[in-house]
Amino acid sequence: MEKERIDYNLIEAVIAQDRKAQFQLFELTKKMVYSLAFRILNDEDTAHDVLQDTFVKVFQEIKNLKHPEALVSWMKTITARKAVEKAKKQIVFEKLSSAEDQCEDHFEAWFDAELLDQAIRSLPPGSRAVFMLVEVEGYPHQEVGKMLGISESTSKSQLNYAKNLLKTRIKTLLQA
Amino acid sequence: MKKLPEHSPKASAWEDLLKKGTFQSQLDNHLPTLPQFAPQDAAWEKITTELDRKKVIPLWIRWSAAAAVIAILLFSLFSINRTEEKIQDAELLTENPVEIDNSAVEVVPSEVPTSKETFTSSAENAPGKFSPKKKTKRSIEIIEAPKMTLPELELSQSKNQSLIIPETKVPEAKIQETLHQVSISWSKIKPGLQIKTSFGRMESGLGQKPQASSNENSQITLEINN
Repeated sequence: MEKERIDYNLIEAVIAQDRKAQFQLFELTKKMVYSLAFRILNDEDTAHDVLQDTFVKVFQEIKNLKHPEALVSWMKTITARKAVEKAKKQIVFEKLSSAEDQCEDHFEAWFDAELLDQAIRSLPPGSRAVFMLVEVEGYPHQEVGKMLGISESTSKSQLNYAKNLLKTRIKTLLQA
Repeated sequence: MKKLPEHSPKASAWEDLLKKGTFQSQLDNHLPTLPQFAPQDAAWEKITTELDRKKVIPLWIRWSAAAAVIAILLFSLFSINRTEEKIQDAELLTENPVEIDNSAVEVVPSEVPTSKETFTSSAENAPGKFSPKKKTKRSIEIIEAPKMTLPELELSQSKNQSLIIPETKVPEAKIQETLHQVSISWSKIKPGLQIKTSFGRMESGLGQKPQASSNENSQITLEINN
């Protein structure tokens, strides 16, 4: 993984504004950053904007990073926040009925990562953002609520709604 | 073909398999291995361009921004001071109409002795009941003012009680005669300054009349000479 190849010397060089080191860090982490942005936004151009903003911020503020070992998670946080900022206009949270936000345990199908990725990208923007932030990036519901401007309970119900939708989409994709 | 011995799995194998087949466990397995997407090749160039642009600009923008902020602060402080001065001037100059409810103010007339013998001249100036001439438009809160009473003037039975001040009416148009004559000349023969006095000649003309005297002989007589 990228973590193993990002050593302390590289971070030191990036802090010293060494352009080669900056490029090396970009090459090591660009897929991670772009993929996260792209999954939240589901739009290539906006995801590229987020990628650019994220790396500019990383290179400018890396000198303030107290724990270099947390560089990757720090970069993910920046990416997620930037993506949410960009997506806020298109993110609309629909009112869910009580049946929709209940997560069903019953699921009899086997799927792989490719299929899951397709299903995630087909989710509505609001529930997709919640799913990515909670399930993939591991943010607590409270923080996700703050980031998206929703309550903690809305975040939870949106996550359950996203999971139910994923099951349906995966079944549909498997049948296709 | 040799037949190798078969081993049977654990009894819980099927249950374990079912557990792994749940949606949540499949999610947990596949989410870390989701396919990754690569950005465009031009992404790095855009980032370096943005970094270089942000490097150059701050050198002069920061100074100009700081200067602008200071200028704005100074101007705002100056304008605030000016407006405060204007407000103070306006407060001093303008009269805000405030209605006064006269019923709230009650002044009890002081008890003035009515003896004409003693204070005939001051009787006119005695304070009466307060009656404002104009009802202004000021409106203030009604405050219950305490009843104000002037202390009673008690004249002791002293000799001053019988003091009489006769009324002397001096015509305003009458010019007082003087007993002094002053002649001034600037010639060489006559003295420059001559003063003639006629004291003792017109004693009656002096108008030395007692202006205040007691009506009894035994009492003190006050004489005031001009």
